[in-house]
Amino acid sequence: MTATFSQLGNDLHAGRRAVPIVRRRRTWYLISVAVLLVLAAGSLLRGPNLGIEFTGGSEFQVAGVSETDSAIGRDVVREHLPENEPKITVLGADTMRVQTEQLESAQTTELATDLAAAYGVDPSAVSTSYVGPVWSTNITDQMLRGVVVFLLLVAVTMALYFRNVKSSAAAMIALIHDMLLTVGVYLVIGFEITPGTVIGFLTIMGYSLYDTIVVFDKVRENTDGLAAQRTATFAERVERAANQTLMRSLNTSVVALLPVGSILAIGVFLLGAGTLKDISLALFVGILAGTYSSIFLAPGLLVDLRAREPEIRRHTESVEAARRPASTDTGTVTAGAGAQADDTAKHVDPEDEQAKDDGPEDRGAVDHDAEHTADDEEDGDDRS
Amino acid sequence: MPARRIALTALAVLILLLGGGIGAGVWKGGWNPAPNLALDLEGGTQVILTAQSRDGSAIDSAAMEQARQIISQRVNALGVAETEISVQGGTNIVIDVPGELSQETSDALRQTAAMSFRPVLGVVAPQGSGEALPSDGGGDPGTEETSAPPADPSQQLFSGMVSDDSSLAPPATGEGDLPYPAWSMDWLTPDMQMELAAAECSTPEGQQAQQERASNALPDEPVVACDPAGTQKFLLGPEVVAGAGIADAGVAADVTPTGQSTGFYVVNMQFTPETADDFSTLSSALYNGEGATAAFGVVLDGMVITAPTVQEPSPGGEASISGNFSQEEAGQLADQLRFGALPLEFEVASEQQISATLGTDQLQMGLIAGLIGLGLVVLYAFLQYRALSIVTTSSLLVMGLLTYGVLTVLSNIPEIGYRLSLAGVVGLVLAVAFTADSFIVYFERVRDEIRDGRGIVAAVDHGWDRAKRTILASDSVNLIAAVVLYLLSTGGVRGFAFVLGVTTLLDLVVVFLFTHPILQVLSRTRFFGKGHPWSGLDPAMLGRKMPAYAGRGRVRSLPERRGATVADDEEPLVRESLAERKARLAREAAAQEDAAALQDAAAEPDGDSPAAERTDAVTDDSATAPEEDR
Repeated sequence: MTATFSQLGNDLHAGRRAVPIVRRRRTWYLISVAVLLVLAAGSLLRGPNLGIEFTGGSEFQVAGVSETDSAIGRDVVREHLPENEPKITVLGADTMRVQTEQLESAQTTELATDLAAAYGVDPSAVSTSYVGPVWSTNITDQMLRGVVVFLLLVAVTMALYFRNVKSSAAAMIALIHDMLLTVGVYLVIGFEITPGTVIGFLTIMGYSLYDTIVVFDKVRENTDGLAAQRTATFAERVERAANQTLMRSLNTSVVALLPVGSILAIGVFLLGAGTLKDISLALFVGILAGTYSSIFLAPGLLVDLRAREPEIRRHTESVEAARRPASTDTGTVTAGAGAQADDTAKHVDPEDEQAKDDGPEDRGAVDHDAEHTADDEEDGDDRS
Repeated sequence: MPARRIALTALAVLILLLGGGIGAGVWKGGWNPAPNLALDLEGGTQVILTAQSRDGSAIDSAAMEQARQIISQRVNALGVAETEISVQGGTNIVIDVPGELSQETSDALRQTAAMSFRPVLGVVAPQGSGEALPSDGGGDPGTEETSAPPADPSQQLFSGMVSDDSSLAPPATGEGDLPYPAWSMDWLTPDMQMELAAAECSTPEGQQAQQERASNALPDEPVVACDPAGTQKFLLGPEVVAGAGIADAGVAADVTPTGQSTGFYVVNMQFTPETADDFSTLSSALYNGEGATAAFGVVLDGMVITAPTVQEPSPGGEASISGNFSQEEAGQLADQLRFGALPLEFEVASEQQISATLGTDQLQMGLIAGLIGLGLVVLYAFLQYRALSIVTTSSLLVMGLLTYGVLTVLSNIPEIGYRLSLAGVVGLVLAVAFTADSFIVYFERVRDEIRDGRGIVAAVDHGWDRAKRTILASDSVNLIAAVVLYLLSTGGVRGFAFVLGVTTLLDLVVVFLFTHPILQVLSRTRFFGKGHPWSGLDPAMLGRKMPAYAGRGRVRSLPERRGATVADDEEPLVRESLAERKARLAREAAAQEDAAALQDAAAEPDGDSPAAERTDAVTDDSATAPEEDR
């Protein structure tokens, strides 16, 4: 399996295989838009399933019960609050969760004691929480403020780091896509939204950008010295970069999903609900969305945003002009002159070409360096 | 000494310092050798109070800090141990109490503060007529004439601090737009008489109802209010000075005119310059007998907390209340005055009581999840990076050690007092992913360099130069997220943000001081430096048709790599290993596949579905790209 993986990695790196990330970018956009539309339609049908932290209310968790019968709890609550219909769920193996309207502090204590008695556990095994009406607006405000501040700070940081506003914009669009997607999934499936979920959402933003940064870093490296050559257009260079980081993106996602998945599994199967499940579920969905967007959306967006820069447009035109005679002669197969053609040639006959091959490749490596020092000097030109 | 040694030494020193510090702390300073746990893991009660500005102005952090101190004093006065009270997210005060919260403490927390100074128009016995308020028919007219306040609060006496001031001539009328002075009996309208008669102060229910009514009264209206003990019922005129008019309040020992201590304490108040005049007008008027009584009441949250009789007018904006207070009583009153002075109102936003059983359960599960996650990551790293996963695993171990040390130190420093919450545990588990990702970025870059034909040692150095920037940028984003979350949030989110921030910083420390130096060292060993098939850096595995450059200025030829004997070579004789052969076969297979694919592409340039593309379809992207890009 590893051999195949690294083989795939090698091929992607060399350009022998390529996922048409940039070429097919409109397809990817369409997929995203379609998914988002479906989710939006779905969420209109179902409202958000808000936890009591957002709606306000009182909650009791009775741990270690011997009988997970919700009728027992319902009867107890009815005695205290005749007109209130409690929401009772079983968490994990032996915990009952009873949610009611907002109760006074004294009422809470009474009900907790009675619940403990009814389920035959010690009163100390009952956890209670009360969420007042202010809290939900407060927490929503906090969350929105957090998101806005974060987006602004990060947009500026990215623009400074890439010395290019459009890279930053592309990354932000991908980020917003991830957030919408995650929120959409939450709304449609009806997962409960709690402060833990919010933690997850906010972490996703960091994660999504993290992934995109890695891809864009490679893009920056590949498009350094773009103007100095006539073999590949900006879009092709971006495509190559996206493919070269594909393996890394997949590895990263797997490595992030492993621990998150294990928390999720434990949270769902052993604990039932609570902070562990809430955070990890949001993360799980968000990481998947983030991986998709950083691979399939961000590079395409970058190309679309930057293709109209005069310098890049001129360059693309000149590359295409240089290719035209070749393509009329030999058709599509050799149309991709330059680097890719080199690879293909090598590849067709690896053993025989060995001697010849080592030469150009070596030069390639050296060129690479030279290219870099040169580019570091002309940074400004490239990114303005 | 090469940079890598310095880095490793620095790391060792850091770990030793952390370990030593914790050891010394445990031994001498009574430190806990592990991070302290937050309420959701340890069990306990958390109450979150949200402040609202009374006058719509912005809430500043100084006021919040003062409120926090006052609430702390209140709670500590009740003898609740280990209570932690902090201001979070700007406008929230979070109170963490281990164990259960007593009703008394709970009440003390809920007591909010809207304070006003009003002249006392009359004091009556606490029993109400029990009549519903809107009913007509005059109340008992006799009640209004009550003078000489008998019981508790009004026994308290009031005197101006600066009594020998000569400019005592009181202004003729009250200020502002009131129709008559606040202390005038004209306020005793039939409606008010009725309310006074009906109000019930001797039962808790009646008291509560009256408190509610009194706290909702407008400042320019008279009110009927009870005292907290339920022994008296007051009729008070409109507000003369609002609570915010108090600049400070404190406790001092009471002395007789000859300077001897009486053994009692007094409460000193100081009014702000804006309100000093209003207060002095009030005190002069009451002193001169212009009011219905000579007393004024301090109403806090609809309760008369004190109703001292004016003994001397107070022209200077300073005043003291005496009433045979013990130090504790005086302190409490001063607190109430100060708290009332804050332009803030607090409401219980959430209250959570978590049983210790539930907390322990969650912690255990969280840790188990973390270990499983860690194990899976290590396993995956091994599959992907073979022996290089030693670096991953040991880096994660170092990371774990550092995180444990840093969190322990932070939770034992009283000023920081960090407590690990459940969200924090999730943050730690997630840190495994983020840390591992730094390695992936790094390793993949090194591999890319090898694929580009660099020798392994050079590839490590070059890959590092590139990866470094990426790791720094990614970690900055995480750090921004952590800081924003920490500053703007409350409760669980904050605990998570803290861990995220700490582990991000530690990730940098580990990558710079451990992972990179270790990889440099390893790349100089035979196993890794020569690209053993199991090293994870094998050039053959990475699609290099044999490395052209072997590092240290040596070029290795193909026969060398293949294991043919070369006279002056110090290398082991390596036959084509299983992995190498697999790689070669795969390459050859791929070549054929590519050739086929190219033909396909030529025949059908647009027929590539995304799914098929990924595994086996068109490989020469430049063949179709120009057409579509145009």
